[in-house]
Amino acid sequence: MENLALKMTNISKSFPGVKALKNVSFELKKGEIHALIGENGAGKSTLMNVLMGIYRPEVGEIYVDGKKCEIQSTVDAVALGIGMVPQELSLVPEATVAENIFIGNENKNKFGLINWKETSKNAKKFVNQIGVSIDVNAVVKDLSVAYQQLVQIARTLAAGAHILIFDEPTASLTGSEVDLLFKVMRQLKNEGKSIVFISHHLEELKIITDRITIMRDGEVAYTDDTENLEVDQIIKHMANREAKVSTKKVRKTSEDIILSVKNLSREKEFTDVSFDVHNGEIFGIGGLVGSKRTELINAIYGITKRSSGTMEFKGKLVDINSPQRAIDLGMGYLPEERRKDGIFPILSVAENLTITTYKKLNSILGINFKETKKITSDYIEKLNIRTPDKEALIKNLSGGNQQKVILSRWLALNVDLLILDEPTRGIDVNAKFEIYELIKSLAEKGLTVIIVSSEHEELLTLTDRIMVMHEGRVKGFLNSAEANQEDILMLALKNKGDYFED
Amino acid sequence: MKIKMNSKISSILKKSNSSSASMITIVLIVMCIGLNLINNAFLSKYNVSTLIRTASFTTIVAFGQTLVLLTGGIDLSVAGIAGVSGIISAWLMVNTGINPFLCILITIMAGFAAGCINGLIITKVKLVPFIVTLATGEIFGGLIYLITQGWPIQNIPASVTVLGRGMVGMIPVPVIIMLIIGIALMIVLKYFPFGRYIYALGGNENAARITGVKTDKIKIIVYGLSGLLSAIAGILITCRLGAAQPSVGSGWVMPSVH
Repeated sequence: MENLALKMTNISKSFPGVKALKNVSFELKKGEIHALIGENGAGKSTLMNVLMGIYRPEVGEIYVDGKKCEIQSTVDAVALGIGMVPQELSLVPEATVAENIFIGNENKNKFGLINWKETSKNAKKFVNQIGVSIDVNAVVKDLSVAYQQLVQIARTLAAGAHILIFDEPTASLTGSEVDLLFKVMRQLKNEGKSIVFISHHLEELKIITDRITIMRDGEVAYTDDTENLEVDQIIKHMANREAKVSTKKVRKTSEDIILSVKNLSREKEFTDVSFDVHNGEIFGIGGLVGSKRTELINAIYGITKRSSGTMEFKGKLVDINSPQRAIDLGMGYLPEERRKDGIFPILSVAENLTITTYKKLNSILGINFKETKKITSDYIEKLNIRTPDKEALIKNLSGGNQQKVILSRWLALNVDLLILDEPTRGIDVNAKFEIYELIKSLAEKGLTVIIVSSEHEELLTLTDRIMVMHEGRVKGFLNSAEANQEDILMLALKNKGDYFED
Repeated sequence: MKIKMNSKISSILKKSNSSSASMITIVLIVMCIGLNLINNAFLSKYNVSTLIRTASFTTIVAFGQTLVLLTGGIDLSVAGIAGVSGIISAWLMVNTGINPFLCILITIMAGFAAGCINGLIITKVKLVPFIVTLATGEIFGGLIYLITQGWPIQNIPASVTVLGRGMVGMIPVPVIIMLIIGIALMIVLKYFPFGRYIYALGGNENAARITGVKTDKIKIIVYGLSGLLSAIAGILITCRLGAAQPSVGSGWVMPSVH
């Protein structure tokens, strides 16, 4: 008990419709680097958010340094010496390193004004503590990403943290920067700090961590010392062991290629991506968070510009430089973040559904609203969209129904290729299955669908083939009918090996 | 009797509570009646026609501003564009032999171009509308003094002053122009893709781009239209006064927003 910095016992937390954490227990020794890994949605982030006081668990107890505590908010967590180094940089880019380190925790003089001399002196102390040399008076935006990350660590230390949570800190770092980060982590460990390290790089875990806890479906699947675990074993524990025998039949798809992507790259995002999608195929793109799948399809659809590579669509070499161009060619795109990129909250269901058809239905007398109303009624009925009426504001609909409206938007335009990014994120189970059925029946009728999803089960049940990506590179292809979740993880996480087929 | 009245008023108030527009209308009517009680010249034919004539200039500017506000931006250059348009049209009419109506057309087009410059800077250089239009507004306002050296331009041809001073029956001509513009804009906003795209763009720019709306183009045209309408208002003021005053329109920015 004495050498435990943190002990969480029997933590349970549910969200509407999901049990995110089921009886999770987690222990962190003093001076230990403890990896927390698992697939997307396994519960890592939820567990850490519980620790940070962002979520309140329904059941469970938390002990910090052997003392039981109630963490009701982030303020409590910080007071207990728990600090999070977030994955995304959360510094103020225009402020200096010293200012950032003490933001919200300023060194004040007796008049309540900020004591700048003290600020930079103390900032230096914390920067030295992590054993690197950073000019504390430098403006943060002039530092490299790696150094900005170190500033975040210094800030966490300045807030008095002795339990540090690193959320995928290496995701955006280069090789030598990772080495620097590891040096800092070892330094902190020697000072007796305890670190929770969340990462998808299994090779890294072998190098830096002492213990590994593997989560799966909101439960702890396995915990052991790092030296006892091999990469293969880790992957087995991450995947669902009782993998369902796939009852899926192999669907016959056309030999004709509708979209052919060759050596597509975009700087800092993805490199050398090549794949073909057949006519009428449901093509899945899988991988873990940070595999740059969304970035890839953004470039294909013309939202961002590619750095190099070519694309052929319907047998012709195309240069898609705007979504407008992609639509003209016959593509449609359902974005990942419905609220941010999908719906027009201030407009009605009818307008959200038919905005893509306005140009086609326009004449000198204006838009043919009779026709758009008819289209809307058609799709409300066909897709079973539950809405009070056509003119209701879309923001008042449930997530699943909003998603159906956005899908209909493209169906009404008769697109040939539909790109869906996380089509069932944040929608309830019923709507989810309705959307699955819809996608299947559309593909039967000859529509080609590309689906990006973090839910491997979704990809396996829905698609014909899956392309697995990891950190912006294609790691291989799988035939969904013959594959299981473990295969996807193996492909994503193992080094390039003999998994290339197709 | 009194109680009955009160309950009637309160029921009207309750109904109108849902819409702030109808609330404003009620307050306006009450104020008009009140003012007329204080001075019964208030609702006289002369006073009302002068009042709505004066209001029509700002309203035309406000139409353009409304389009810009719908896209989620703001146009602070309306005063500058209106002012300089009044001056340029007058200068062309007085100092060149061009037909005065052609002068007006040229100036309106120049107003549109000036607005498009705002739009171009906002969309292509990606600067905030507030900053861009504040700066260009100052530039356009400065042009006035460059052209006039601070002196008004007088002797506007009588053929065009009718646009500002004339009456059709009981209604002043600028009010008619304002109504035509208002109705035209309403139709475009309600029934044409361009109008619907403006709402879409203002509601969610990302989603608009993904659904194939050429967001940059729409924004540029909207700022162009705001410039065009400001120019019309500036020209009408010049026609009304029969002279181009350097200070015209300088106070129109805030009224156009609310």
